[in-house]
Amino acid sequence: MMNLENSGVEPTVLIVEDDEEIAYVLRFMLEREHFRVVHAADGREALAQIYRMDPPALVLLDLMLPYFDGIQIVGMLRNNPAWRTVPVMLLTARAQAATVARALDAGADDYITKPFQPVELMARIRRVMRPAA
Amino acid sequence: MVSALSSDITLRLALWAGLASVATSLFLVMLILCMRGALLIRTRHHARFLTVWRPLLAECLLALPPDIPRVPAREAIAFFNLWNYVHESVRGEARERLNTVARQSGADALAVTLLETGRLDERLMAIATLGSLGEKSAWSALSRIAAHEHPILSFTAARALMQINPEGSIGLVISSALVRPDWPFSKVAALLKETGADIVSRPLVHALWEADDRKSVLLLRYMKVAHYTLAAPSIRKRLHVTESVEVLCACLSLLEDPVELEAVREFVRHPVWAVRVQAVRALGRIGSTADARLLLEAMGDAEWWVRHRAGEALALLTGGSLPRHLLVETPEDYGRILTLPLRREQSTGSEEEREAEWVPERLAA
Repeated sequence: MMNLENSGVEPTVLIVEDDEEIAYVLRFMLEREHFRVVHAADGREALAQIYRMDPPALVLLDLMLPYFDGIQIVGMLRNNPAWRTVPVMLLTARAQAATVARALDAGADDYITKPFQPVELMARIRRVMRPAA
Repeated sequence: MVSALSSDITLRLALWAGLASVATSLFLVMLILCMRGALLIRTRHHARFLTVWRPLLAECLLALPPDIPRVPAREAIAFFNLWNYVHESVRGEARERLNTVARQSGADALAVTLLETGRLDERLMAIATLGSLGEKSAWSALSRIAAHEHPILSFTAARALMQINPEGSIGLVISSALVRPDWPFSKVAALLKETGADIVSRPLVHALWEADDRKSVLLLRYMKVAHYTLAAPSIRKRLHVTESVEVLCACLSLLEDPVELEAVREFVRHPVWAVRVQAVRALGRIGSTADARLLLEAMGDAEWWVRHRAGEALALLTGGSLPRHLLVETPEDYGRILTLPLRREQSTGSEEEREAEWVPERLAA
């Protein structure tokens, strides 16, 4: 896991979100906190990014996506040795509790429900990216 | 001479037809160019709008921006669209800040204006915005629109009223829903659910006490979002006094405690199969293992749905511990299939022995 305080470079966050407005808001908030953001608009783009880019500091993942859903993507991440330890935070609708449980079982680290509290989201992101004591 | 004249007329007609088609083509080309131009201008305006408002609204999710521009009237709908979308995506203090931005930018006043003068889509966006804003000054205008004959317009206004003052508008929404068959049931139920059981329970119960059978069916269907402890007395009373099959079914589908267990047991033998279905389902929720034999009997019912629900209820009731002496009494093959998982769990011996015991039965069924 990346140590944010000591690395000296902007940590990268991969946002996998098909909703353009939500993706914009997430990008805006993360860039304000000095993260570098890469955005994938669907499951296929996310898969391409997994093979193309270096493992990021965090994956922010919507559960309902075109082509591959969030659970499938978590499975792919956890089967990829380079991405195995990358923290994954899910963005999910309130009604998807059962799906969230499956995604957590598949290897996701945390989740936040939509509609979300921006301050809470940022706090959770900081928490999952904090190096283990 | 006649031939020459005829030829002359034909030539003239051909000439005019040719000119007309050229003129039509030119007109269409001009029209397409104008439409493309208008689209391009609109797209540029929208892009310019987004470059101003997208970052501003995103920024206000974390802190209120120091300078908030006014929303021009021509950009009102674009603003409402974006603002409502972001508003629905977040909660807590971020929503409060979005409300402040809408008020400081003059969007609230634009919404009030469009409420009366806009096209249908503009009015809908204005209503949604005023509801999200909790704009109390729009209460009387929204109340008038809630009585409008257009179902989407009236329902959207009712939702806005609930957002502004749920306690003050719940009575209006329930009474309107009972006389407005054009309001979709699922939309009304979702609105009641999002408003919350604390607010909707008592008004629903109050309406049920006074309703006739026709209205009771609808109210009982909405009652699923209410607190059961508040709703139970009125449900029980309806269960005993009604002669309507629909009301009976609705009451049975809501029962969650064993107070009416004896009555439910009797309804398992009701002459109408729809009532029997709800009775066996209720028995699965509120019955005891002593009701297993009654459910097994229901699994021999003439109606497929009763057999199906009785099987489910039996599984729910016994939790996989159906007494062995009852297993052999399973009245028909369908029942055997339904209780197969229970029987497999109860079976002793090795995996092979269990397979040997059950597979032939399954094949026979």
